[in-house]
Amino acid sequence: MGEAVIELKDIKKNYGSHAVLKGVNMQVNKGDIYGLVGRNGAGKTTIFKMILGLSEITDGTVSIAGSRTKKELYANRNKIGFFVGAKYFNYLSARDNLKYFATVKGIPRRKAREEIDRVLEIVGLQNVKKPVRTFSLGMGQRLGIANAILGNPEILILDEPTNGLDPQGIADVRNMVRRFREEYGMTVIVSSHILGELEHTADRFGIVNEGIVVKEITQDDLNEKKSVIEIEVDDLERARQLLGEGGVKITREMAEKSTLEDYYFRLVGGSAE
Amino acid sequence: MRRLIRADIRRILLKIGFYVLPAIYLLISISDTQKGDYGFEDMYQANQFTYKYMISYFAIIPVFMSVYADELRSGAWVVAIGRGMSRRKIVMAKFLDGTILTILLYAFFFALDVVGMARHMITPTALQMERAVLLNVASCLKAISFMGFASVFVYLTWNASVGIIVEIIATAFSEMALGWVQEQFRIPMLDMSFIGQVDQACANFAAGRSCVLQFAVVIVYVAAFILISMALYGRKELEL
Repeated sequence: MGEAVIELKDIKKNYGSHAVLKGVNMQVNKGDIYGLVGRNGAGKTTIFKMILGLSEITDGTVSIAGSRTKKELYANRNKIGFFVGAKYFNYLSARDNLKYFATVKGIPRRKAREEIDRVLEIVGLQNVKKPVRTFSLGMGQRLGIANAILGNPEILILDEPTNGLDPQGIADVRNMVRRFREEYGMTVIVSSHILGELEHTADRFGIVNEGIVVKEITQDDLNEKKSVIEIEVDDLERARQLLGEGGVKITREMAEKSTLEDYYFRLVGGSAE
Repeated sequence: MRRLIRADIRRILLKIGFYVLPAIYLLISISDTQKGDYGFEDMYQANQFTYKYMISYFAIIPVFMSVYADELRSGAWVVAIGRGMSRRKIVMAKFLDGTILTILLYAFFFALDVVGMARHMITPTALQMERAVLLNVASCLKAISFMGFASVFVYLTWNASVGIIVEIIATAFSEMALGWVQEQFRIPMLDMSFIGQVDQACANFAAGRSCVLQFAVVIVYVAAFILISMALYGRKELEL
């Protein structure tokens, strides 16, 4: 186990008599890309609200960067950047929105300018001057992510960052998430209800169902249970015969088709990489 | 908290919509066609009517829209809370945003009064100038108090439109309603309200008497509105 940067112990959240979280235990370690997966309404966003202090915890404890007291917990929230839906003033430009958030985050004015240039370039909005109200959904999401990474936080929380994006947008976000860890050393927690989306991005996963983290698994767990080799043959019948002669038992045969994503990128160009 | 106030004031001053109503007031003000023997008293009486029944709308609507409505629409205060800022500080910061902007707008209205005097070749005496300033300050204080009162309804309903409607209705009718209760039932509702206290404070000041007590009462009223807002917001579930 690595150094825990976020630790949730037996977190419960009730809205009246309705229990939304029923005792969530979760640990995110330094340097992880932690994928929180589960269907809509499973409790992923509520878990984020608990971590960020946006909702009162009914029972249980949250620890951020080793915080032990409430005061430390509040102070350590400074180490988190987050995207929980695009939050911005639609009459301002992307740059002016980021200036606003840089001031709120306490980034000194001189440093803020460089920092805004940096994050706008990462999300590809460096040349966009128009007000945010004219942005497409994807541009809005990008601005939200730019705000999340403003100030280079140690921990990054992204709640369904690909919601409503086109395939290219989804692929871009996936690549950004990897970059945040590789280049900036961030610990990333990212949620999605689309399992395939996180499979190749995260290295640890928390599977949320009906208000609890049912299981935490790693990429190794996925690989371990799927020891397969893939070979390419021209004559399938001959391959079967040769494998049989060699004493290799074929347990399953699958007809593999291209994914929609493969088709899409083949047709319109670009790539998921 | 100071960071949030600084950021808010800057983003509001960048909003063109914030200037629309003050610009309309400016147009009304410069289209004043009074001619002939128009002295300070004529202007003061006209201003009394304007400050009492009209001017506050040119201030409270843009201020309330910019401080509360834009904030609720954008969900931006989620960022401040997520960065560890307490909800109490956010409520206080929003009230102070509104106070600063209201003061700025009333300073602008006063500047227009001064320009008006110059246009009519009125050279006020020191006492007349003091009365003009007091009229502006009293109206500004009432607007700030009404804003504090109306913000309670924003935190209660999580809807800035409700706050604006409450503020407009309260500004328009509260003095009349409280005055009626005071007259009919001999209960000093108007005198005890922040409206009555501001008027009394200004009257005392003009007469050279102390107005500390009246100002203290106004501050207690505003503090009560802020504390109620803090209590309501502290328990609010924030939707993402």
